[in-house]
Amino acid sequence: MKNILRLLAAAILVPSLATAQKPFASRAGEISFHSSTPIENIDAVNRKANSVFDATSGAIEFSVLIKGFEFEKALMQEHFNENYMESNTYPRSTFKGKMTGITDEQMTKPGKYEVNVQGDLTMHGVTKPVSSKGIVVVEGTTATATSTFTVVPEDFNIAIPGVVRGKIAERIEVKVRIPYTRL
Amino acid sequence: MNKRSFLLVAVVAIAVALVLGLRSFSAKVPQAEGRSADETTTAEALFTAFNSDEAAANARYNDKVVRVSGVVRSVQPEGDGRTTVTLETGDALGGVVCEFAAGADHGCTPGASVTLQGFCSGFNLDVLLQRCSAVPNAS
Repeated sequence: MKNILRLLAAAILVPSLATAQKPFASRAGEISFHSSTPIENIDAVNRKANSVFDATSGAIEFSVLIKGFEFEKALMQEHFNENYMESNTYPRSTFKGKMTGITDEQMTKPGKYEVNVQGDLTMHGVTKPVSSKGIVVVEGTTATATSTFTVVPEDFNIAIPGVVRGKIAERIEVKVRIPYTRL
Repeated sequence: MNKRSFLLVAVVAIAVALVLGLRSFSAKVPQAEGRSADETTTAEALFTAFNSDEAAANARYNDKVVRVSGVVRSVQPEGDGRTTVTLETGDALGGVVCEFAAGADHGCTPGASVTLQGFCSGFNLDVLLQRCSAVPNAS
């Protein structure tokens, strides 16, 4: 999160930076995940992810509060935070990496661009490399980046008791949708 | 108590336990509307608390109904009918962000002094309050 702060502060507080060099940012990124098993489907969404994308270097970061994920059922939300993600100990999940396949100029030019995202995902105190393809759709002053990838809970030391293991998918689908605007 | 009465009481007790268990299992995530606040503060004080000592602020405010008063910085309608109201904190980057469900009457306009309450979810450049409601006629 400190890197996001530094990027945001630099863009806002250094007016000599040319407009084309200012990064793109979002504070309304949407991260959702879906787990499907024959016993139960589990869905949750967080609509307040923060992200910064520097199209010149390709550097991209995002940060999301674990307690910000919303479930339909209170018990699911409670188990997610207290038993699985231990959000009191690990309050945030972050991603730091690079998004390639789109230039700074293209980020403000209407169109649809295929991108690749690669970097380190940190969750529950564990950092793992992830990579996925994505799409950036530019309309007006907003460039919306979307991507889907999967995570295995056990890869991030998330222990799921045997008695409920059948209720949670072995691979969880994560969808990311981040509307960027130039700072 | 004879055997028949004991069985009757046992059946009733099990039925009650099942109903209560089913209710607990199916219960929706609670909204802040109508609840008494666990903590009452200003937007500036709340932001300062998280910005200066996040761990202490997490312990004090997270998962609690926090009633916060302040000046509205922005009101942002979201695509799905929800509204995000951001309160001024005196910080150029961060604010207190209050999420309102679709159809909720937040009654906020930029520049107005308001009192809102919601469940605190922590700090991520902004302090996040979710499932918020407006507190009318708060002094």
